[in-house]
Amino acid sequence: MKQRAVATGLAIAAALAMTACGAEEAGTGSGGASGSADALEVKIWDGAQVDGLQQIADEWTAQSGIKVNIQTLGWDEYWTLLEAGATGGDMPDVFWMHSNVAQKYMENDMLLDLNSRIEASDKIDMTNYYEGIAGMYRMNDVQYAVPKDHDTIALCYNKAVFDQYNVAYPDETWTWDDFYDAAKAITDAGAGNAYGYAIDVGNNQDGWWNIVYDFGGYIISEDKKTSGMDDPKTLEAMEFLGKLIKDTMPPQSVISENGCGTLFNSGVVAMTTQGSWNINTFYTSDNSENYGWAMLPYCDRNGNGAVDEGERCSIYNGIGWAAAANTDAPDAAWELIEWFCSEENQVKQADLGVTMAGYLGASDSYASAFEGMNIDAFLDMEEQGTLIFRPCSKYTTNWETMMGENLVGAWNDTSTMEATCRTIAENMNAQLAQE
Amino acid sequence: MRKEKCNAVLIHVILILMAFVMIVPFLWMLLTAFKTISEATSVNPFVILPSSWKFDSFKNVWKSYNFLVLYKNTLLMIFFRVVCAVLTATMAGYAFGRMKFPGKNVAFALVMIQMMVPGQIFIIPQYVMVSKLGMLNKMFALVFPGMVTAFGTFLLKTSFQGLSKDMEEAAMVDGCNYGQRFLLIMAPLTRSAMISLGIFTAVFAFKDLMWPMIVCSESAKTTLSAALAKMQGQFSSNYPELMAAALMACLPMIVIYVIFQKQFVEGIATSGGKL
Amino acid sequence: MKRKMTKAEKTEARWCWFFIAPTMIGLVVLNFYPIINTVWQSFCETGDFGRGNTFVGLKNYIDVLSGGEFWISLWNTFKYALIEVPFSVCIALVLAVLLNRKMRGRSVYRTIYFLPMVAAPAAVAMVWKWLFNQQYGLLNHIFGTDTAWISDPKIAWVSIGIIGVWSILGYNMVLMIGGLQEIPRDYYEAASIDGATGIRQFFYVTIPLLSPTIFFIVQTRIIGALQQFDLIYMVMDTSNPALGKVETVVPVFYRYAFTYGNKGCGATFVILLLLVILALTVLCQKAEKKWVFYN
Repeated sequence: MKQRAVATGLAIAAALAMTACGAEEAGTGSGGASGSADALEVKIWDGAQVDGLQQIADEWTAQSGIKVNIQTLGWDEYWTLLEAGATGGDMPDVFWMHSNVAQKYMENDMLLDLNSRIEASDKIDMTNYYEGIAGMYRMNDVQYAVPKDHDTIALCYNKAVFDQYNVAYPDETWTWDDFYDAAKAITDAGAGNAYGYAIDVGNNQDGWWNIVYDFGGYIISEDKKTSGMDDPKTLEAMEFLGKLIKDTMPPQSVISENGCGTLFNSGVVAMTTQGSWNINTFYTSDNSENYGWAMLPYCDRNGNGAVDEGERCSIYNGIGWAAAANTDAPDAAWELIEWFCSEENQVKQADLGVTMAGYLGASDSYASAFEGMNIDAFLDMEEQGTLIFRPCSKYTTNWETMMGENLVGAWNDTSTMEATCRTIAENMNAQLAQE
Repeated sequence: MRKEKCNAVLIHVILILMAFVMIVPFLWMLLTAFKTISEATSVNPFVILPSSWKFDSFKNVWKSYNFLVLYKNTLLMIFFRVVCAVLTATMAGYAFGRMKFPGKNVAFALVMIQMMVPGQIFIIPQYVMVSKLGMLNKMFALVFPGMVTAFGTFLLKTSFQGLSKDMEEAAMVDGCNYGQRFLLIMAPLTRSAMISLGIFTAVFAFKDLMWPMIVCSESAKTTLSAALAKMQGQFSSNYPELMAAALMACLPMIVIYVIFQKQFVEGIATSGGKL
Repeated sequence: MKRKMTKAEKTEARWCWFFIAPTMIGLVVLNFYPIINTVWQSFCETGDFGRGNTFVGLKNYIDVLSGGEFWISLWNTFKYALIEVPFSVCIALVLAVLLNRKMRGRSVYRTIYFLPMVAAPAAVAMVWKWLFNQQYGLLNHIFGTDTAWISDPKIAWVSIGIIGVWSILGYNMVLMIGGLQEIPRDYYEAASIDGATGIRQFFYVTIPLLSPTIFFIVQTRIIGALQQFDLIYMVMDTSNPALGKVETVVPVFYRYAFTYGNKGCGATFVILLLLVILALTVLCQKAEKKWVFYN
């Protein structure tokens, strides 16, 4: 009898445990983000920034007594998770927002309305931030996120490769045609061992979108209703890009398998265009002493030999610090955002070499964060070039992905470039019509 | 005699060649892990052996990822999943394999259907459940989807069916009820199937990728497999460190496997042979 | 025709429900609720974050079936299965037969062949990507080629298939060894007396007697191959030019559901795949009755 009792007991316990799970699951669930007022859960997608940000956050913890737990995920997982969290009602307290999806999150009231808190704050005044970024995270006059940073694009070149093939280094006088000539000279002389340049279909913000805008084209119209991919100027830029792909780059399969950074660091590619968020990768590389940075080339559209407005573009973007609409600790979450975005800590963020600031004029110290490497080009791009905000709409990811998928074909056979661009424009218009 | 010897040599040659093919990826992992980035991405000349056997990559990876915690999490997850799976599957297998009850066919059909559905569709609903229970980033979350197993139920059912009637009938004469019969007589007889299921569960729990990645995103709470996948996303270009991490992630399971390889092989073999 | 249950039957039924309760409750909560949810979604136009789903009837099915993507991915799935299943089964069979005898180093061979099974999928993907790398990879160096193994649309599906075979070979082999050990030795002795040796024994004794095991492996591997996800997700980057020629149904579903946030179409992909798997399983069962030899 004893054994029977034990057996029954065990099994009932197991069954109960299961039903308990089932029952609780079936309940409405309280929702609400995790993290009580003594700890905040923060999620970001860039592992290179976590140390600096944690340091800034720890100073906040020292005065507020609230612990900050920053977790990093890869880009893809980050969005899968955030979306799942938003669906299930469990988002991190504070997290990064990106222009690609901001509209979707704002429209669905997933983000905390910051208006009243910004009004009450003596540290945050939205006019102090890059308007393109601040405006991105605003909808119907409600501010949902505060700019964390902004970025620019510059050209990185490997002096060793340039020396080897006896080509002059890039400088601020370069037009895209000069760029092409130099890249082609290296590719021809390299005979399969070295190439001038490499970008993949996905290198849009840090690659071909800049060329499109330099040539006077555009990706998406101001009202976000039509695609600019079939604009004559865009097509002209894409034809030029096709020339670059054909004459100066390794096969797309090689680029896709390794990424531009690896190819550049191993000396296979002489030049790469990179965003300011990526400097550290090159700063810490084995061969970093060979690297130099220059502004992106420009396109002398009016042929006057000088750089005019819109001829040297840098597509810029900025992450926003946002909080979950249903966080348990909205006040603490806000205070942390306020802390990260205050002028003092924006300067500090640049100081530590995390990224450039979202706060206007707070990025100067970023240039000196990389001792022994001159990265002035990124700041020059901003002063001497034209900043264009990263093209986006409500479902940016959808057409951006479609664009990449289609362009793979054009990358592999550049003669199809124009047709591909027209197809993209058609698809994109169809997608935009549904937004 | 001579022909047989010839055959034996030929067989060994085939087997060795095949073994070489199977092991090259692991060797290449090992060699790459010891190289510097420049060596790993050097084409002209191509580098096969690293110039010096330094453990830098291993140290870096060990430092930036808390491998001890990852090992612990993985081990605990495997342990709980195995216990839950074996317990629930043995009980259900006994009922399906040796008893009669209304609704049995319908219930068993449900078990079979589960095995045909791609696992990815469970992820989001299960994630929502876990998050509503407030269990994200906890051991419970890792174990949750593995608490019951359709495959295991199927396996144990077949195993119970294969047992002879005599013992159970003798027990029935002695006045044992179903619970006693199950616990004292029948369940012990399916020990080998339970071991198979345990090993099977352990291997696939170890290999589970998407679930731990989503449900335990904190790097201190996740498993080896998920942490490794995350590293690939983050450091796609540092091949030596990636390979070092890959080796370190696989090593515990390889060691366990080599030690218990007899049980592994027999466990897997019986689970297949009986089905 | 409903008959009242006797008392003994009632007791038995109660015990049964008690035994299956944990499993059934778990399956309902963990698996059937999601399946039903998915079926429902496949008839809906899903809103952002699972809100505002509107019933649209068969629209998703019509869209998916009339668009090219489903058929291409299904074809890719079959291409993958056509490499993985026959090769992994045949090679495993040969290895199992060679190893099913007393010989030196038997357990060493077995250990090595099974090794890929205990490797983390991310590790497998990483190292193969690295071996196959066009620029820095070992394979191109050894063969002196410049082949884009996993990026050339013409051959990438073969390369992915090779990784699949490599990964599963040992598992199949171990299952085969299990099956071989259950064949009574008398059969071989009888065959020897009849003068059948080596190859003839293999075809006239081993294969027929092993057919239930072979059949089981083929069947489970077909289902497994049709559900292939990890390998393609980990190996094929989104900018890979060969992606469209390799991407199987489950990764496409994943892309729709998670990247595009279009859960409705994603659900439709999975339900259609499920129907294909069900149909193939029924076919397999039929084939089993016809060809498999049970003694």
